[in-house]
Amino acid sequence: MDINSRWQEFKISISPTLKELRFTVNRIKQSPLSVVGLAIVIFYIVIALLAPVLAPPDPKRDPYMIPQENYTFMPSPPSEDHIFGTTENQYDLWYGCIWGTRTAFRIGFMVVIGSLAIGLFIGCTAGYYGGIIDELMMRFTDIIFAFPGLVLAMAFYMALPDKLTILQWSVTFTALDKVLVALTVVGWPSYTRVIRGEILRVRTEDYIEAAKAVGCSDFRVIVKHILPNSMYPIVIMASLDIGAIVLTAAAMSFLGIGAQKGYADWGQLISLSRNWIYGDMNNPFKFWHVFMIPGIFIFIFVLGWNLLGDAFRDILDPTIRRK
Amino acid sequence: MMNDILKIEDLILNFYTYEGIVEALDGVNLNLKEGETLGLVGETGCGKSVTALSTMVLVPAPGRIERGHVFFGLGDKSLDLLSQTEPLLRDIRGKDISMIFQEPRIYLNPVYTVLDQISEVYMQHRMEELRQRAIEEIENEIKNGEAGFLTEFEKSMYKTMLENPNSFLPKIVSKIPILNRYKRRLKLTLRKEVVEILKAMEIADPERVVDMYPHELSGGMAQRVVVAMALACNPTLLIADEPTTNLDVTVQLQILNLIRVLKKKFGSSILYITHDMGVVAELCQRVAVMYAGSICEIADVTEIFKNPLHPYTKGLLESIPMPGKKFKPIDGTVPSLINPPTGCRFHDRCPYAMEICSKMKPKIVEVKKEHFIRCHLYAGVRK
Amino acid sequence: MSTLIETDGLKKYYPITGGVLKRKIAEVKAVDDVNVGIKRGECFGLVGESGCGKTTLGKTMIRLLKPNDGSIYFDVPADVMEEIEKLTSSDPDPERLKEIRKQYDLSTFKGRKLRRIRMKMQIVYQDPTTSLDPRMLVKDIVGEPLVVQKMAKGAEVGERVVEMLGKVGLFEKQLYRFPHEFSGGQRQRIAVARALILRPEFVVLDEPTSSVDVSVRAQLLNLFQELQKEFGLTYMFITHDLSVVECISDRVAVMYLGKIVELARTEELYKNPYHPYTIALLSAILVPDPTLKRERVMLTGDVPSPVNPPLGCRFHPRCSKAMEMCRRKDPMLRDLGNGHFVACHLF
Repeated sequence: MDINSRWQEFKISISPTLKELRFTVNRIKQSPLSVVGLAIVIFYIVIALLAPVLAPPDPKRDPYMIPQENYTFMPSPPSEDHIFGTTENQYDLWYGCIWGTRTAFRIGFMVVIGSLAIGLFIGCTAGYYGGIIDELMMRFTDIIFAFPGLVLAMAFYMALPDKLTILQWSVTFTALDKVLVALTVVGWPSYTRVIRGEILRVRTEDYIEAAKAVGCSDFRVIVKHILPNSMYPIVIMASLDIGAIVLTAAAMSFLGIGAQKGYADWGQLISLSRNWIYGDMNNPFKFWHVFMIPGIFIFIFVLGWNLLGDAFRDILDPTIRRK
Repeated sequence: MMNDILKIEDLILNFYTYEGIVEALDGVNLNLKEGETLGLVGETGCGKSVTALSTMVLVPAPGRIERGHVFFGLGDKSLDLLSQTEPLLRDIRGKDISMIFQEPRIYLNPVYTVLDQISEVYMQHRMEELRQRAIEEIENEIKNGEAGFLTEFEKSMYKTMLENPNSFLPKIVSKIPILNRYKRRLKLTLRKEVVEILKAMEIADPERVVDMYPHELSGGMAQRVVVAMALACNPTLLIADEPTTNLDVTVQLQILNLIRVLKKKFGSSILYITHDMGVVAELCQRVAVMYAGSICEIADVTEIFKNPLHPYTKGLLESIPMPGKKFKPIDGTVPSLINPPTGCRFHDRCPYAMEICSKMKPKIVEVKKEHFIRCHLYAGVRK
Repeated sequence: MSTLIETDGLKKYYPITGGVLKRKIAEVKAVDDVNVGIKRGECFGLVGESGCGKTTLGKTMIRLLKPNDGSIYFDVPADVMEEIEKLTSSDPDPERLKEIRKQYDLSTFKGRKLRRIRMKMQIVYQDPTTSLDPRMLVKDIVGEPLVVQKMAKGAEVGERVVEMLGKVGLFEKQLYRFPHEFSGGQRQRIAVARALILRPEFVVLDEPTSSVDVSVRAQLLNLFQELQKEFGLTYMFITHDLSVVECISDRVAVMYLGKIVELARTEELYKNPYHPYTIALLSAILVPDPTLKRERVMLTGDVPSPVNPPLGCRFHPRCSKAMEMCRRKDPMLRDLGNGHFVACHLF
């Protein structure tokens, strides 16, 4: 086939996907809150991408370590040099918040992907095969679920060594890595449950049996037939989760078990503000910038993802789709 | 000369969906005479269920009736149901017009027993009669000297409820433990009534069935229960929306026979909706054939099978598989009603289509006595 | 005509579990000791009401379900069949029988062997809305069998899909659409295309016309007949609609509560039904002719559930001609001559 007809065929082949996409975008446009959510998320993505431009790092240092002009204990208010001011020990808030955006995305996506991966594997196997495999896996999930999330995360954080060596491979865990692992371990059970539920629903449909009648292997049935039909609740859950995870990570940092001191992370910044929340004798809000500004960043980030997640749910809900 | 108990005139109904306006009903004209069974035949998507729901003014959003009248003969006056208030309609539904549906187990509430569900129909419409009967019973008891110490009290309760259905006193008393035993009598009466009506439905062992839940019933039994609910108040008009489509053949035969027997007993008129020509031949006296939102032909049942005039009716009858004959389908598929074909909606599948068919909708013509047709082929013919 | 597929004592039971430890408390005897043989090239009709087990029988015969007992012999040469008969009835030799069964009996197949035999047997489901994956394009749905069975790759898949769609009356430009964009009749055609793309020999049609409109029914029946002639297929047409099966089948079997109660050539069955259940079923057919008044045989009661079938002949509680023996013994399927089999004590 020559280029022209191949291009034609390509255009036809992606036209149904395009139609679905157009439908989704239209639905997003209809609800103002969804547009707001999408705008917020895009705004943060832009900040994250432009971080080296907005807050130029020192080429000799790790860009994620916030620069300090000097080491004065007391934070200084917003000024010409420091647009957002500085926090305890003179960590620059502007730099911290901008690069913190990158960290937030990193935390959110990595934990969600990790939880999803584990959840998918366990949920699919349990839901598809049923019987004793299902029982064992779900009871194991229940056990993990029974632990209070934050406590379990803290325990994992403490338990993980700085350097882990198995046979010849060694893995170094920075403080942030430990947070990621801890949150992933705590997060996967909820995905498992949802995925298993969806698989149970889809498993008994005729077209799954038809796929088996044609000779599909179990793996192919799961990957090509069951999963695409059960993805929607998972997509919704994941997008709502990103906000929640960033929030939890910030909470952990505030408690002192998060990223290392001086790391560009919103939770870290709030942790550093602990001593300054109740400002001065005369002026309780003297150091408002120290906790308010990172706080606002977190707040709007989580809000944006929540709105987007709600939007996804409204759009992708099959019962109200074709109304 | 039999009166029309139901007359639908130029009913136009649209559904406003995301994908466009579905022109579901495009000027439906239908009349049902007193005491007859009219079959409404058509395929999926032609609008027969929507027509039925419109008669009861129960069309769900996003559907909206644009124009038209639904005249229902109540007593000796006839009302346009589309312009009545909701309370009056609620009174009519279940009492004067009843409907039975295709899948009985979906339409029965799964958490209530058969007794509860049929009682609900009674309580909605025949409360006065039951209370009156209760009072008479009490008076009988007093006369026979069987009165207990609460009987006078019971009588006064029922009297209050009879005079003022919304009175406060019975509601309070029903919460007080010993005094609320007065309700027992009503419950017993209701139970007896329900068992009676189940017996009339030819259900074996009604005493046991009365306490069952819908999921414990078989398809045939569930359909009988739904029919019982529909006929509990002796309605003038019964609308049956494909009630036997999902049932087995032998059970279908039983239910059709039941409907026939009950019609004779209760004297209702029936609007029977189906897509099965065999059922129509078995049960109905007149037949209306519907296609894509309007009626194309109405005639007596023998007439329509012997002498089908509309091309769609002809095509429908010919496509029924018969042994020995080759299968003769109708070309094409049912059109989408979002952008329906112009003019006569059947023209793109009609083997006799003329030029005018795509331009103008044909008007209804009475080709023979009581044989109406909507087709340009017969436009010039008058009785 | 040679026999293409034959079952011997086929049983399929579904356990009903209950209690805390999920023990088996009862069994649904969906298919109970069925012996049926379908000849190559014929259209074999299987009729019965809901719960009689006809769908289960069809699916078990093509090994979508694993039978609890019995054998399924597919495309076995005549001399081997003779040997099997000898081994089971007159000259038992369990070792040799086991060998033969491992080679020919579908109920013993597993894994890759089973997947390979799937190419020869396919099924078309009743409801085309649920039998097609709603998230897959038509070209993928119809092309998947080729990819899975490794019969074609890349561009060749597309070509064969287009060819197949043409044969069922669909167009190339409809390749890149989703199932929900089609009407019921068209979806059923897509399902047929999927079933036939592997060029199977035996196709089970599970109530393929029940979910579509009357006018489309005739289209589909025409299509089935054309395809049967073109590809030399053997059909098992499962339905509850007796009028349809009369037009399309060569032979018809009537099933009741997991057993076959009557089997005969179509004309013979409709003209001369023997079993009381068959007679009742046939009299329940509603003919579209209002002038024809028929003698209707009304059965009492509802179709019973296959969980606890009545002892003896399963039909006896509803049979007007039941005798004492019917309560005790279950009648065997007997040949009354002319290929007409009945399972009834009256004969």
